[in-house]
Amino acid sequence: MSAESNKPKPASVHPLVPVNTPRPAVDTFLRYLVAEDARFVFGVPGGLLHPFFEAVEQHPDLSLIVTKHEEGAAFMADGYARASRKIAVCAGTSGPGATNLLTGVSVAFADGVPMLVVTGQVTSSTIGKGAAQETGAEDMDIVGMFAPVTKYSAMVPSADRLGHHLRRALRLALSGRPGPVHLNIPVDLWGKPLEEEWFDPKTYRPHTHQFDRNAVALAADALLRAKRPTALIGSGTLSAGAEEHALALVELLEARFATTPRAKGALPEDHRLSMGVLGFAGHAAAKKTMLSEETDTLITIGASLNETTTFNWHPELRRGKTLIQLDIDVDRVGRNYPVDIPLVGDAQTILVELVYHIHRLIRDGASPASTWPSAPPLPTGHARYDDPAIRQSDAAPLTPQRWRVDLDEALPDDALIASDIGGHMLFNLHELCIRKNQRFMLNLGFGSMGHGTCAPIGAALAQPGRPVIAIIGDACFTMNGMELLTAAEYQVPVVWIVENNQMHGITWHGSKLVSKGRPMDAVRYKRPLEIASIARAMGLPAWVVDRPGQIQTALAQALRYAGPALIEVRVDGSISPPLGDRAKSVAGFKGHE
Amino acid sequence: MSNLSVQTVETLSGTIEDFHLRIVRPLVAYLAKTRGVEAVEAVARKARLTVKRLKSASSWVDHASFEALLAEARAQLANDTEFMNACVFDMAKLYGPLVLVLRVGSVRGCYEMMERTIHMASGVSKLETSEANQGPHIVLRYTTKKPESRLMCLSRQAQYRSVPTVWWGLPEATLEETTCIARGDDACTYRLAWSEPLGVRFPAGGAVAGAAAAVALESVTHTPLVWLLAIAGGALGAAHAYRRMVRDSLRFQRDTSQAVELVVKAHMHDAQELLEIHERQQAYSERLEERIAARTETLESMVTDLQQLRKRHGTAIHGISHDMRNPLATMLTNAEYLSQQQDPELRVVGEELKQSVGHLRAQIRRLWESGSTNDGAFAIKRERLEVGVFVDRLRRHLRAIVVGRNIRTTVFRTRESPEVITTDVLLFDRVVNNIVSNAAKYTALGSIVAEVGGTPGNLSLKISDTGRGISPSHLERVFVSGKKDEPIVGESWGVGLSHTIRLLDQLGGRFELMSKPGVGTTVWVHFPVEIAQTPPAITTIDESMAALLKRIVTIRPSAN
Repeated sequence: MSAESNKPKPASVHPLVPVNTPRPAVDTFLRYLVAEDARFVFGVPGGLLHPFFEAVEQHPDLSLIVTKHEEGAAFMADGYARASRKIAVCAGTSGPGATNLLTGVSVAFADGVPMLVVTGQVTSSTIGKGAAQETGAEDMDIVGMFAPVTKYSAMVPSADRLGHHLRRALRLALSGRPGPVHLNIPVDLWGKPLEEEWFDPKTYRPHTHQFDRNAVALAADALLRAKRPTALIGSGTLSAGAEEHALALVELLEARFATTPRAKGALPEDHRLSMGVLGFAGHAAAKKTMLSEETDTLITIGASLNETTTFNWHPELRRGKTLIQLDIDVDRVGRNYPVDIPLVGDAQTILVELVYHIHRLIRDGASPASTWPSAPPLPTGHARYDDPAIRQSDAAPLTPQRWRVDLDEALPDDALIASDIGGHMLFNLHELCIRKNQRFMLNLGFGSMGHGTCAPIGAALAQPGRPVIAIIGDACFTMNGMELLTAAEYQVPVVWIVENNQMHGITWHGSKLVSKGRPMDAVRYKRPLEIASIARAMGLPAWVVDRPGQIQTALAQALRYAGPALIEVRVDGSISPPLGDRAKSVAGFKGHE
Repeated sequence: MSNLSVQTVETLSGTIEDFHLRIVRPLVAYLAKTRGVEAVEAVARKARLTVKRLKSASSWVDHASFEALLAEARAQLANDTEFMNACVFDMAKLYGPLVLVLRVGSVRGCYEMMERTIHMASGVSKLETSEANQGPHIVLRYTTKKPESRLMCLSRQAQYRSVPTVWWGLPEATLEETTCIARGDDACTYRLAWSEPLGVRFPAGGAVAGAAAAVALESVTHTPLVWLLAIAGGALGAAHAYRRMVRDSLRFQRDTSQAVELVVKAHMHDAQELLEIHERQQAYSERLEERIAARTETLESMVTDLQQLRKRHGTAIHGISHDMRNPLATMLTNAEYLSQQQDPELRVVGEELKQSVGHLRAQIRRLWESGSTNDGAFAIKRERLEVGVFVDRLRRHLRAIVVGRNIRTTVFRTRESPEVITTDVLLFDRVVNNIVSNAAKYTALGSIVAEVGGTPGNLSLKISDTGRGISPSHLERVFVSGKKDEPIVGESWGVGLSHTIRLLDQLGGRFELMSKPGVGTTVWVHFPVEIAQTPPAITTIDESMAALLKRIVTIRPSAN
């Protein structure tokens, strides 16, 4: 034996199994999932993915969560990944099982959520011959369907290429701006023997974070000199786990801040420097400060400056300011507004560098020039919101604002609050105050109804012990509410608060705005919807709230219950949610005109 | 082959007990005498043994080494005959007084004893005897688990043949070989025959000579009386044999007497030495006992003094601990009052004050406990500390201790930090508080950044201040306790670091410091994620500080 061959291999690269002991390819696949700390696989088992589901079910370190619909599986995986900041896995068999996943995967793609999507395929020898539920490249190309909504979509051609494709998919899902990836695997490959060299995740997925030192120095200097600095905190801050770093920066600079709707609660909304949410259903203080020359330097952190944040790309957001944009995706920097100082990279890394650089400048004699401490303080309490009177109303039927004020009092300090899409979301964005250690979850990038109903199940599985409360609308419940059965089966402790106004509220109120006061009555239910009754039929304890002061007790009781529970809140549907700018956008004219 | 490799192989082969080196002791002695030390070295090399080990003949070797040894020895000698002679060279001398023991037995007894004791020479072989009658002959059947060379057989044959000669001075046994392992047989089979003492050779010879003389004389004298010559010849032969036996017996008796005399002399000498040693030991023991008695008396007196001191100390600690609770209760009330004020800054101060009072209470409790223990030591507690909670506490603490001053504080945690550590939380807090307080105390204006991060197996706390820094000449001084522990006026840090380092050592941590005058100071404190089950002993004496600094403190050169 030569000296060279005697050299030990690096510790991280060692044979997966003893030499000459090939194992089925599915074993290798699952080993990578476990190494990436994926603890759950969400999906609906079926024939062409049976070997995969069977292996997951038998694996000691993985749990199979069988959902009622593949869309629910993708939503739950999305919720799991958002809460845990780890890769989530969802799977659907070939044909409709795969296409049903598409909406959920699109949500993850829009919001940059890491997810591995596994779909089934007919045997490799029959692709192209018209097998049942075949979705090969020659016919209904499932790989092509997933391509626009994933960072990587590929069919694994043979068992010995499985490791290569899986590692590549995982690397892309978890590096840079995270996102979903898709692997389509012929059913016969799972059982094929495979001798595979094992790669530890840190060897195929490096954690190197780069930044431009000069750009950081420029940004630090500009921020330190700014008299009215403000920060816009986007959802990229959450993806990077950079909430406290962003908070450290704004506190160091005495900069006022707002979050995008999607990043609501990333920084405590009751903070003395918080202006609330900017954009869709946002707060007046944020709009007034940022859409004017009151702000002289604006730093955006992980915010893509899309329609929902910028009041349809309002030019005042940019005018008269130094704009510093920090984003991990170079393609999002300068996309909608010209940028003075671009910062491209991981938010946590760059914010740490910014803080240190500012620290060095202070050491050299500089001091933050912010004049915000001497400015009039920001409004607090009910004055912060659009309709202080309605928030305090004792009227019956219950107003959407009032029960949220009541809820704010009762929310646990570490609650994870999820919102679905619709009128209730606008109230959630505007009326709730997310405090330190609480978290708000919303899929506003793609804006898919039903996500807020299912994703909390994944979030609760990711963070056992943390109270998870989903505030959803009645229309969302009717779309994906059957997944409450999934929660009941697996006893996942989520409390759903369903705001019931007996219609698709956002559409009804929006139609009035865009059609000169003529509402679209077709979206009102033709018969009353009894949500609590449906929940009880599914095995969940349920409470009905229709008066001020009731939600606190109902929530306390629901949280005491060890499994899933539901609270139906019946509200006055005539009260419009704060959707003015969105309606203007739908109507085809810009909100700022 | 180098000495190292020889040692290595020797160690490895030494674990296999195939053959004992005492078998080849005569062979080695013969080689040393006739061929010189180089020959022995060559043999040792081939057998992968040290010369010392080969000569001592007191250990076991594996079969391959043993075969190599024989082969090399044979190569050094002229022929098989010399080889066989060498295998029994000076056997009797080599066996020493054991000869005396064996001579009381018989030749057959000796062969039968070999059957029972072969395991003392070989771990892989077996020897069986047969031929039940008690005549001067025996059949030996030798089997082994290893394939053996002819040399092994020859060395064995030489030693078996020499048995009558070595022990009793008789002629060598004749050996008739019927099978041999080296030739493919299952066993080596030998038939050995020997002459017993008092044989009929001389009487018979004398009788024959007498008879021959009688035949010759009969033709001359024609008297049958001449046949008496045959009887006389036989009698003469017997007399000669007897005389020879008596001479041998006398020689053996003389040898035996000499050997016994030597043994007795040696014994007497040893006994005398033992007696002297015993007397010296007794005298020493008496002196030792006297000293121990004196020392014990002194120690008992010291222990009594120390116990009284300890008691007074413990009582004082109890008293002080108790008395400290009263002002703390007042402080707590005031802190509660502050924390309920409208002014958020006052609330922060109040909360921090409450934290500090809680911390002091915990310390006092620990002090009280130490006052109650016999050794006065603090027990290390293993507690779970959530890093997120610690970061929040650190943020509040840092903000509170610079409140009202023109200092900005930043505290953040990086993704490398662990979620939870197991440590003695009180000690941990004392280390952190000391370091943070130092940073705050010696930073007049500017900012303090605290980064809570991690390295594999550690929680790392980095505190960077914009104080005036420490000059290189003072860097070492800041760690020294005692009078030098006073603050270095105008410079940052300097107080209590020696104390902090001792606390950190108990937690199993490390400390790094970088400072530059006019720029500031940065320290890194690394805490293990899991405190050791048995933390290092508390270093209490100043002399150990230098070693402690060397072990857990690193002073980083500051960047220019």
